[in-house]
Amino acid sequence: MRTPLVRGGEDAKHTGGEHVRPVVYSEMLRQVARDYSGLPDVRTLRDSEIRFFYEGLRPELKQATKPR
Amino acid sequence: MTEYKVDRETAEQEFDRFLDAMDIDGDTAGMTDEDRQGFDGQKQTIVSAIRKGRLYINENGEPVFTPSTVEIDGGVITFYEPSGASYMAMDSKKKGHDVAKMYAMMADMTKQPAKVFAKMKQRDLKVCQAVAVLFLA
Repeated sequence: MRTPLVRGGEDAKHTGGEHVRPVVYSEMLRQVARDYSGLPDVRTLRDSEIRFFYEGLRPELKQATKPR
Repeated sequence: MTEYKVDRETAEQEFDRFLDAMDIDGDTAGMTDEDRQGFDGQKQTIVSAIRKGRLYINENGEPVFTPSTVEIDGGVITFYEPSGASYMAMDSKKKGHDVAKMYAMMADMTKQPAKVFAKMKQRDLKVCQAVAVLFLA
């Protein structure tokens, strides 16, 4: 899996072989479903669309998860 | 003697195009030995199917496979990008039920009923599973 998630204000990947598609895309999907109003049925979103919307959230996720 | 329709270099380039389109990491440098072995096996299966003309990568980077042991409408199985429904279907399978997860994902990605894969003989199923496993990694 190429696409990183956001953790602690930075791009990050799960370690120990856990950065796999079902885990990563499920988290991205939940984040996108929560943060975008007016999306179509999220069950119909394809990976490229999930990625597109998550990339839109990436800067503010980094801001929001930055360690204080 | 196996008849190949596509040369190895072209088939491997098409495989790389599929990885790129589907956001699959093909860099084996960071993999464990076990993961690298698994990846190489899946790559070999897919490259071989491309070389034999049984599978090709369409303009969207989606694998299109022609099975020979089951009959299906349209004659080909296209592996579309997974969707939100794919992840929800997999999530409903219990932990450790990886085979069930893979079948659920294959059915959703291909828009084919799961029974199509249940009826497949090994020579077709191993190609479909190789594609599906890359999506689970």
